Amino acid sequence: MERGRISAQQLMIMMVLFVLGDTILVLPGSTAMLAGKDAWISGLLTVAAGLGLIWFYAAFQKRFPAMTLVDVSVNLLGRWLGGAVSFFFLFGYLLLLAASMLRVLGDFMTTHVLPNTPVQFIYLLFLVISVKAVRSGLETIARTAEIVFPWVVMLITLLIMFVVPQSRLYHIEPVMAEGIKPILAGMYIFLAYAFMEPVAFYMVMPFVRLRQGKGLRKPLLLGSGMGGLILVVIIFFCLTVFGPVITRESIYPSYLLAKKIELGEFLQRIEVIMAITWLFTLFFKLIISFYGTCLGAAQLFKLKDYRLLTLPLAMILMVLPDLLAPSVIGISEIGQVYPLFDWTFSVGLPLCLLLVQLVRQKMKRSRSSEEQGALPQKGEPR
Amino acid sequence: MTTQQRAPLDHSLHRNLTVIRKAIGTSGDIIIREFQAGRSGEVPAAIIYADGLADANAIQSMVLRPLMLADMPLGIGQIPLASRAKEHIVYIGDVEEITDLESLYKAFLTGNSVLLFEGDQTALSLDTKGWKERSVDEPSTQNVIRGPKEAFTETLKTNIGLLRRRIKSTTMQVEYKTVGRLTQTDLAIVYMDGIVADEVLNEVRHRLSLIDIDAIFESGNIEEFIQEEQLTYFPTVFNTERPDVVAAGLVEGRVAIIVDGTPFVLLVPALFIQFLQSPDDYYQRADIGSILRTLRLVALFIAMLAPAAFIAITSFHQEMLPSSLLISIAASRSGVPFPVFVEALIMEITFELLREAGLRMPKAIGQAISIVGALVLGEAAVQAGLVSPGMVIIVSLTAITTFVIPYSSLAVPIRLLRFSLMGLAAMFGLYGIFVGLTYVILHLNTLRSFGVPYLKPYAPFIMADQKDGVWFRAPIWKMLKRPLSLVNRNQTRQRPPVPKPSGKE
Amino acid sequence: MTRLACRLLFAAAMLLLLPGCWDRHELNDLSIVSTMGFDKKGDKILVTIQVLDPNEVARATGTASGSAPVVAYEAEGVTVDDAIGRLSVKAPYPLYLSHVRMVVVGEKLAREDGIGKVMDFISRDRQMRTDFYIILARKTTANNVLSIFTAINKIPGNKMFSALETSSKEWAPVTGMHLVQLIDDLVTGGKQLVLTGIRIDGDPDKGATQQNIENISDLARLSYTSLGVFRGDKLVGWLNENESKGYKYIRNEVVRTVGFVQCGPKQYTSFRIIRADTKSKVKFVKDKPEIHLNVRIEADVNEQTCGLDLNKEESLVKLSELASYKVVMIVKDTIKRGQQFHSDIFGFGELVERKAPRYWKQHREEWTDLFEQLEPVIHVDWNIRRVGTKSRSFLQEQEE
Repeated sequence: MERGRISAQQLMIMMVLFVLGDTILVLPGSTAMLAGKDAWISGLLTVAAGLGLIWFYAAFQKRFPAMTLVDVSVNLLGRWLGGAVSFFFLFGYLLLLAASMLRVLGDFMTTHVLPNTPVQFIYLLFLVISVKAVRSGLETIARTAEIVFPWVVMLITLLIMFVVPQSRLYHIEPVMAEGIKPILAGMYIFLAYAFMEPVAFYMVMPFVRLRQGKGLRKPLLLGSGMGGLILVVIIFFCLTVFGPVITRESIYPSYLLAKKIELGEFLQRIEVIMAITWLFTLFFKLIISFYGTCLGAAQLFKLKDYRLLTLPLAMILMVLPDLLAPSVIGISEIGQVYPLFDWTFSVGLPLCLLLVQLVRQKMKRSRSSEEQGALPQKGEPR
Repeated sequence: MTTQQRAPLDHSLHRNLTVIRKAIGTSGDIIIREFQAGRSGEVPAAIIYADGLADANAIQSMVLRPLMLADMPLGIGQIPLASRAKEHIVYIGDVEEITDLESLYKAFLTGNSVLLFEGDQTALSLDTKGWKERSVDEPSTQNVIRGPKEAFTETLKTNIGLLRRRIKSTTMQVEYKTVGRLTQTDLAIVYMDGIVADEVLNEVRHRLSLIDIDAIFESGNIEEFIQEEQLTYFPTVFNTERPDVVAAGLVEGRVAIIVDGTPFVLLVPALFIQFLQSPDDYYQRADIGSILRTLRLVALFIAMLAPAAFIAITSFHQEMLPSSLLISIAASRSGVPFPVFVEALIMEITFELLREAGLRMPKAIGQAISIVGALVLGEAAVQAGLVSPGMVIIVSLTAITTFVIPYSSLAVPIRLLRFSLMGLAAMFGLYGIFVGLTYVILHLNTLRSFGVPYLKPYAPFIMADQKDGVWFRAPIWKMLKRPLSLVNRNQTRQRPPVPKPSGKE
Repeated sequence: MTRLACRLLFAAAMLLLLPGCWDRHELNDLSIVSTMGFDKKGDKILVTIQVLDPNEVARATGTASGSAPVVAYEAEGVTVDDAIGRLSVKAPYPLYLSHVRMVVVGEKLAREDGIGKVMDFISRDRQMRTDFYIILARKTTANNVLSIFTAINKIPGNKMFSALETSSKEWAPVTGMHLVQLIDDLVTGGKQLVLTGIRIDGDPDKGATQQNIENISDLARLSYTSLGVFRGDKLVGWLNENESKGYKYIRNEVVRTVGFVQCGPKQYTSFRIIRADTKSKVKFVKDKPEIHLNVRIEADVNEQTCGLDLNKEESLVKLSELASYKVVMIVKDTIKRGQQFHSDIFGFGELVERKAPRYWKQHREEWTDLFEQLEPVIHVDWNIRRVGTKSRSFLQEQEE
């Protein structure tokens, strides 16, 4: 199926890019909407909680080495039920994740960069490179991530360097004036967007070539921790430069932040260049979930080569983003409930699978190896 | 071709010569000289050589003269005359016995002379090669400011000699091969035993052995056969006419393929960064080398992106320009009838035409053309309002930066990409450029050269190899290991301690 | 082979997109707007824009060719966007708003309808950036302001921009207001908005002709005046020059300025203030907020005709005392003025909110009343650093 193998270092870099994903663009706004001035505290707490979540992913993968989530569920739940669960995971979650990346991209581009271009062409162009990436295989994706990563880091560093002088701490004072509740609300959305969507990595992790005695935990934690901290820093500067009100009200606060870059007469108005940062991060989030969908579907339908699926799925992706929601407002309304969706698939699903395995192990030990007992256990929330 | 299938030589000199004459046909440059060997002329013999390939003087004084003055006491057919002549009479160093017609033909067609005796089935191939060859000259395309001024020539043996002079070690191995059914082109695979990766070497041997074609004229022909991905602009085989570059490559674990008849030697595996590393980087101080490399990287991006970025910014993202610049560009463009994309296209194509014309032009006229092209045409086009002055600046900038790239095999894909990116920029602005560049990065990442990922040591990232990267070169005494990207054994380049002035510890 | 054919076909298909170029605008096919003005006209909004003529502007030598470097267009509409849509009939090319340097709002519009509507359009529009200044046209309309010719810098928008940028650093009574800050002031309850006013000195009608800049002394000239005070998004009044200065002291926005003290009849000493730093604090006394302002000023003596010997410590002390007293008075007057306007332009509310969020939550609604009862404690620390190149004035020598 996938003959390529990637290194732990590559996994880490892909993780950083994935965590930044679309979140770097929209998260400051939506977190500030819920947590107000304290969105950055909410962010810091989320990174701590998110690392726990990532730790859980790594632990899960360790229990089922060299298996994708599709393999695991088919193995544990049998061909039909496991197949159905995987089907929902792939087409009800991963593909939608990919589509929502396109949607965010399309909305952003048509709002700020290319307002009159039909959004389909923006999708089309992005899909061309995505299909190319997915067809070239995991190794190519990982290597491309390695090339892109320094640029992303450099651009973000530049961004932060230039807005530091414009940040005013009084915007975030007083700290925690509203108590803990808004902070928790902010965490809810931050956690889901940044640390649950990496569940897509279940389709990648089996192909990591690990050195003797090394686990997946370190690269995953490092990657997501770094990505999370970058997000917190971005939120922090959005808040201190604009104050909570403007951060909350704008759809793409980071883009607003990029507009603030100014160094004399010559280095200013470069926000379009800065936009390359999130084009790259969006791209990686898209191709990793797209790759996961293709690979998983090929495993599910026992195809020899997942590349067969890239074009048909890309065609679906061409129209799916517009079906997600009628308008930008619709997207932000969905944004309120979408985290629940994330919870279901990234925490619910692996937890249930884990439970099933534990139960089955116990039953095996007690020699009453009747599988029927285990099956009703995992009532899958779809 | 096994020996069984080859037509053997006959005892009779006359019969042999008849067959050979028939094969030669009307070719007047093949000279067959029959003579009587021995002081008293007892033995009928013949020598065959190609006029222009063999050295007539050498044949005369080293072969004919001793043969004619020699004692040939024994009769025909009683002792092997050929081997006696080889052992006692002929003054030539490299002598080979041949017994079949095929090798006989090949011998005189490659410049050897063939000696045949009456009554002997064995002929002698004498190395009397002596054609006019170009002497070792300065490199014509890959110049450096500091560094050796020698370049390879068209002769395989001279070229190998140039390498031997640089690497005086028995571990430098040379394997000969012949490709091309008609041309019978010699080529040599050169590598350092004990450093080169076996997979790469075997792969080179394997791919070369698959070539079955009538003619090979240049290493470019070989390159096309052995590169991995055909559908790419980017070179995955490195070529150079500089022996020092090849020698350095060999020591790093690369394999060189030298083809007879061309000064361009192939070096594999070829990585992307290699095309941006000029030999002077290593001959000048490390810091200067590093700065030059950074400069070259900047030039690469300008050469690829400048017109595209100009199109994108002036026709999509005008807000990126400072007001005053925006006004002056807008003013300079007023009256230009074309969209900026068409304007750029006209200028770029004009430039490419000029460049191609300059290449073919006799040297004396070349200068005149470049003056007409650059000054007159450019000035006139601006005056006539066909193009804006800003565009002229951008195009000249790309032209200059293209020449900064040290190896033209990389400059070509960059020039081609420039046009694609211009198209994308004209459709989607910077978004188009982003998509185009991402596609290029993806494409580069799918490439491999003899199994080695093309963008190594950046993807996959290898920390140790960053010492000799695309924008940085560490001092020589810091490079303790050979590049990990290429070899995984025998990595030690030098052993600490690093040399220091005595008395300073 | 088929693969190659497919790729070629694909490339050809992409070429078909080329005529699309939906967002492509050639630079010379744009009407680059440099200044926008908004006025009230009846029930409608009158939008005036100045469009640059690049050819005229780029004529570096400034040889007059007869036509003006900018052209003003105006149109009225029910909403801002409506009016701008109507403008496209008059302007030669699509309007391009990314290079707007100044936005001028007419006094009448600001007073009667408020600037909310305009600001909503500006902050929502994709092309508008955030780096322009927003000012008020005082005692005139934005339309008039936008029709004045300016000398030296021929683009009035750029002229106004650079003048405001320098003067808000060098001269205390004016302040430059960017969009982000403006919206922040509009939406937060604890700080009301102020905007700098611009007025036309001279005859606006004559100023609208090329003649205006043909004389050494312009017939009509744009100049910045003091600050206009807002309550909500409506203009409620103007501060005078001293009060504007006081406002900037309170807000700690003074970079450099000039001030003087009187030390006798027709005797003055003037200072160049090189550094001013204001620390404002809130203290609660009997559950009531009390504002403390500490102003620290460093100044050089620039000019003195008071007959003081500046070599003597006591004359410096005397000058400092006089100056401090003056600043205290200015600040007090300013605050009183703000209270008369019922508008907390000083951001005292914000201070309270930061210090005591809970108190703020309870008293948010009645803050305006509380603000009016505030009696800030003001302390000024005036330091004289240098006295210029002379310790004594030669005028003194003359007298002696």
